[in-house]
Amino acid sequence: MLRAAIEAGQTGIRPVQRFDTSAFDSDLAALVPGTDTPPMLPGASERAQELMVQFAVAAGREALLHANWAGAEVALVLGTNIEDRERTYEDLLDQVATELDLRGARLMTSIACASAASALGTAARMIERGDASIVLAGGSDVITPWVMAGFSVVGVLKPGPCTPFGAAFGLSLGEGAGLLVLEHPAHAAARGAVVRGLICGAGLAADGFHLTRPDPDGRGLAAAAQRAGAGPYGYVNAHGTGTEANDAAEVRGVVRAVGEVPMSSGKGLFGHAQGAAAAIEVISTLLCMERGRVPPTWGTTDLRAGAPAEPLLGPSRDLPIERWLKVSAAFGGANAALAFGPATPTLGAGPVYLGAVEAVGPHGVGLQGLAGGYQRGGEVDLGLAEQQCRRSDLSREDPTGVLVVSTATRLLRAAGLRMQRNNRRMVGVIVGQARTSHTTVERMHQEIEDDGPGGVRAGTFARASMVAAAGLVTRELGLHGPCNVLSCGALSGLVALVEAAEHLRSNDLTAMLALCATETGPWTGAGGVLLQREPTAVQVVGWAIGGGSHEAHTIERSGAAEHLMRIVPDASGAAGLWGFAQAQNLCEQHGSVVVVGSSLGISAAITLRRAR
Amino acid sequence: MSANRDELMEMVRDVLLGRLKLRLERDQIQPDTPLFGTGLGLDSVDAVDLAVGIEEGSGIKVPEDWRGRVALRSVNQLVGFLLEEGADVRRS
Repeated sequence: MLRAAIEAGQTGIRPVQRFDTSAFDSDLAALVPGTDTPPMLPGASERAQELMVQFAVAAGREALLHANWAGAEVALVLGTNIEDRERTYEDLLDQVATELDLRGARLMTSIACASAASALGTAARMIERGDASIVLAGGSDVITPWVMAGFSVVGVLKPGPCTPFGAAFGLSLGEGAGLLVLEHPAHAAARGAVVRGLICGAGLAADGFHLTRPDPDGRGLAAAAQRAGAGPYGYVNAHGTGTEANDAAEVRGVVRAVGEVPMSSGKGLFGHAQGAAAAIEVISTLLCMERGRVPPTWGTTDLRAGAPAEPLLGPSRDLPIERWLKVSAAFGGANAALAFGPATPTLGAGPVYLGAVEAVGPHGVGLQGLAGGYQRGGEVDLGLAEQQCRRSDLSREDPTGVLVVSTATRLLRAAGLRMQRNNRRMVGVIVGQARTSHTTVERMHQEIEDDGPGGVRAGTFARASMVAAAGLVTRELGLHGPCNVLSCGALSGLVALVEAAEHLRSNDLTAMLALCATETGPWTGAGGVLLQREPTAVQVVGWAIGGGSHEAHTIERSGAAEHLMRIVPDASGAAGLWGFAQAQNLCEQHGSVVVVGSSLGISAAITLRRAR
Repeated sequence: MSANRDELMEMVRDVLLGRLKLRLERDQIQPDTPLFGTGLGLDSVDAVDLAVGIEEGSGIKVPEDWRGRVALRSVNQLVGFLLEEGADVRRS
């Protein structure tokens, strides 16, 4: 059905009936049919979350059916940009996993409009290192009155349907879910599975440029594409939202990375499905390619200046492609790319060392008195946290943002790492967040309550996304390396560190930061770990994640050690990072230590060894 | 009747402190304060919010062309622009 709709250019963009759109610049969006009633009222977070789960479960069920897989050991990596109000991401993941009976590791990725691309890349890395042999991965997202209000006030909604690269600027929102079954080639071959595509590379990179606008030269997007693999590529499935800022920057970035190649965008059919976009667009591309075709840029007739040289306007045409790229860009300056096709040689793996551990909390800053302070609980002094950050005024930022920037600043200082023009691309950041900034999400809903749906402030909306804190770190400190945001409750910090280690090992990087912060709860503050290429006293020799009930196996894959240290998971996940101060001492004492943590849905382990 | 300079100055302060929630005292927003960069430190997202707030408070749309950019350089430039446009202060 989907392939027929793509080939016929049948768009899902239509008038919105789910809620009142009179305060917005457009009344059009691509909504999932049959979900208009009951009406969604402003502030109806619960209903929005229910729809997100419903879309994910429906798509997941279909994906597993098509993959002909009924076994239970399936991991779940879900991208979304839905707000975590009322329920947490961990809670939503649990529901999706339970309804689909998935028992492998589960986590969310949330880098706004690039969330699904991040999910597919994260899942591919998990498969590559043996965390899972089969993963259900993709994204699910929902159009809510406040999301539409936010895009409207930022000035990017188009009154008519979206026409990517077209003469009239602007986007149409979309929603839904796209999920793919990813598995190890050996696993697929052993069970005789039908292989519909091969992910041969995944790259992430931050612009470190602006809260909502992409780097005008597309430098972050180009870096993400280059990390996904050298190519050559015969086709690029674009982010192509139709906005003035995105399309121009994206075309420049793609040309910078892979040269002039045929390019098309599916946003004229699906709208911009936010945190699900990349997954839906990858599925549509794979479907077309099974017939030797590429999905066209439907909707567009008149091209704007700066459009791709070959924008593949409809109808769909035959174009045999060996290797292709999917690119996504997001608020916060996050970029993600996925390469499909035959495997290419990858960069050799390099060593990873523990560079620095830092914390900011009610005890003050640094590690002195942290454990006692954590036991007592209490609130962090945000003024003190802000004093750690020297570059600019953070008075407009929410507590989560201030906490991660202050921790990151201290980490770079402790490791003696000075960010300059020539090393920005070589340092990246992975943020593990159990929750989005409560302060900002509540402020946004207060604005709606006070001034109606049209009353959402652009600044509040742009910061209400989980990627906001990570994006702020990349801008404040000039970190243009890989940037990702993971969420899995109390394990968020430890899992972020695993992801950071993986990027540092396999990419041409100098250092990676893992950060985790909380502004609510009995203890507020942040923890962070800096991993580096340059040798220190402690080497990180192994890491793994696995299902919540498979901790022993996760430890085994990470690598056995003289001593086992258990992270007692706190609600925020930050202890999973500053706990490495103790792990460092234990390692120097015992020679090696494996740090492990587990929750209902996921377990993670990292093995440290004393370096000579 | 059009508003005078003082009334418009107060309206701009209301928008900056109310709508944009700047963490400042009222008297820290002076006529010569630049709105962006080293002044109040606003960015282009804040510019969107400021323009929406100004339109709500005065009925005047800050244009997206060079006139708008000049108007948003400082508090004084903004007030001057609103005076030229014959803005009225909407008292809700």
